[in-house]
Amino acid sequence: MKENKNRVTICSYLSFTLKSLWIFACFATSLSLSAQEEKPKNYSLSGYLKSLQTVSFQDINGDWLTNNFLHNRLNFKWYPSQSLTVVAELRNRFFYGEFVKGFPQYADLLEEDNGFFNLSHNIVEEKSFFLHTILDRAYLDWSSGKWQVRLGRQRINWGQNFVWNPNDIFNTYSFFDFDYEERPGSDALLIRFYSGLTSSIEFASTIADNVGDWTAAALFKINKWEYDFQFLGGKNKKDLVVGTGWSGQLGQAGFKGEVTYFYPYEEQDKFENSVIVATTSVDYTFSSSLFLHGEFIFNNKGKSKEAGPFNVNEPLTAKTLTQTKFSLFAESSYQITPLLKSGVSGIFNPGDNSYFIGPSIDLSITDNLSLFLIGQIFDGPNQSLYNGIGTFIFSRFKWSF
Amino acid sequence: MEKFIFGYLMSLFFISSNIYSQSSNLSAKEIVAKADQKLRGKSNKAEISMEIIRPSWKREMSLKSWSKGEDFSLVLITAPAKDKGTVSLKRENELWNWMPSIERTIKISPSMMSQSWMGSDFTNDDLLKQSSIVLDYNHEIVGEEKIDELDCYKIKLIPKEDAAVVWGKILMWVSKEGFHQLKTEFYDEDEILINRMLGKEIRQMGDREIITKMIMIPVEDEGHKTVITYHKIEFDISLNDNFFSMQNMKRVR
Repeated sequence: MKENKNRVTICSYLSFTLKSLWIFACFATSLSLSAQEEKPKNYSLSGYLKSLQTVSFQDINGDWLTNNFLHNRLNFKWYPSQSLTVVAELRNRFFYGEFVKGFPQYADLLEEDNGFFNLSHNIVEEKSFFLHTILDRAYLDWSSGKWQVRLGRQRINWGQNFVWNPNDIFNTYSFFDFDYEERPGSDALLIRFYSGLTSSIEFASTIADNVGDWTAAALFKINKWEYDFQFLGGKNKKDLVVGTGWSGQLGQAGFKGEVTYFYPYEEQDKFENSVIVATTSVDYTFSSSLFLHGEFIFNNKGKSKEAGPFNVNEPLTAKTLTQTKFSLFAESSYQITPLLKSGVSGIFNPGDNSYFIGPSIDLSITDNLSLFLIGQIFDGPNQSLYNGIGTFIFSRFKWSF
Repeated sequence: MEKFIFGYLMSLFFISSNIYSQSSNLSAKEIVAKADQKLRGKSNKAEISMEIIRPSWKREMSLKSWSKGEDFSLVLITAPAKDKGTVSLKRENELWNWMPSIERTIKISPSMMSQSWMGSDFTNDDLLKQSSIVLDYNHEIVGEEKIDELDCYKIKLIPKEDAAVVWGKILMWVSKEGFHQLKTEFYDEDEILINRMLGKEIRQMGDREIITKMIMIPVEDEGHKTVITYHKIEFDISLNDNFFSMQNMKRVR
């Protein structure tokens, strides 16, 4: 019976794939016909195919756990007129390996869509493999004169730093999730007015069915003294927020920062429970291509000692970027040859002496094919943030088109 | 980090320089200034490709570029696929990159601007200081030679004492007709030849005839070179300052 069910599922998946391919082909053909006279083309299709292999262990001499997936991304843009753009981007991942089998809840966890619309789906789900697809961008963009209006699932990126972004209240991301460069989108409306050549005012609001899930805020950006400054204010779920961020330079070095204040307007002890998250970073590149970058984060409600255990399942928010009071990040990268780049990053939590180390190698094989190897090593004393997480080693081939 | 370096491209060949002459070496300086000005114009729009060639591999990138005067440039990467859509905007002393995949504008720090450029054989000083071959050097005609069957002035450039340049000496061959910079040799402070740059394939582009291929060859490394090809270029086009805005950086294609 089980085998039959498998066959049926696979067949239905194949038929689904064929159907979608066919629909896509028709769509693309009709577009290319209508696009013949226009230059540049009024649509674009791009994306990549990745194969990511993961090995994880607590102790290199102990049990190794493998997790693998094939990852395809399709970015589709259509420009029906000068001012209108239609965007749809699809993220498809086929998971297989011991991890899938060992953690049956893994597929369900991934299937959950944190947005207003449920655009995430496990097309096929079996004991040892599953295929997950999510539409993480789907929006209309209308731009005319100095105005821009965007509606749908989109990335609203208000961050200035490279690692921790307390200003990025719409869709926060985790530094450790290196394979998701695009980062999640949110279901929102964005209205932006370009008040000058390097300044803008924007308003963004998520679509939510209750006030407690609703985020709406305004952002003002200005360029002054060769610094980009930004100021934001609004509501982020159950908090009122105000914040500021900047990108500029100290001498020859890059200097960035972000501060956000969260005021829990519904709670009893509003002031006691209010949260400040502040980050600042400095980066410097030597003429040899050696790049150094340090970042610091402060969270007044973070734990000053024994910040563990590290909660991987809870969706990350700008308010909960770290569980610690202070964390330090440092990174260095070096271009060994034009095709080979090496890097190492690290996080240290001074409160509980836990640390993360992430060495990496990036090799360009052809113009569009690359190999990326990265380790993620977490460790620390008992009860500390990174205690018991272990070591992960990833190898990734990426072909872009 | 490579992406950050793309921004540099803007300063590449398109920065128009003010030409003013000194009483000494007037003619040599004028020749260099004319050759320098030739590829720039008041504004321009170009489609360019760059090949980095090594004995065992080759990489290629393509881009579209717009520039106006010394202060404004915009560059859009059109290939390879992994970098396609990345845009760099230069306004006066500031530089930003737009990364469409993550919907983010990144401000480039001054030190990021000073690193080696895309692993090519062009050093950043070659790229950045290109506009100063007129102002930062003393020029002298040292002879006349034929390059690719064209009569050329051979000009020696020695840096001025206070100029912040990396080269100890530059020799430049500029054609008498058309002022094409057909060959350039870059020497270090010990007068050792480091790089040789060749200008090839003179073609009509827009309102003028220009060199459409530039080949940079590091003398010490056999089989290494970088080739820049202009596929299209229009000069003195009308470009509003608005074109070089944060808004347009995200829209240009």
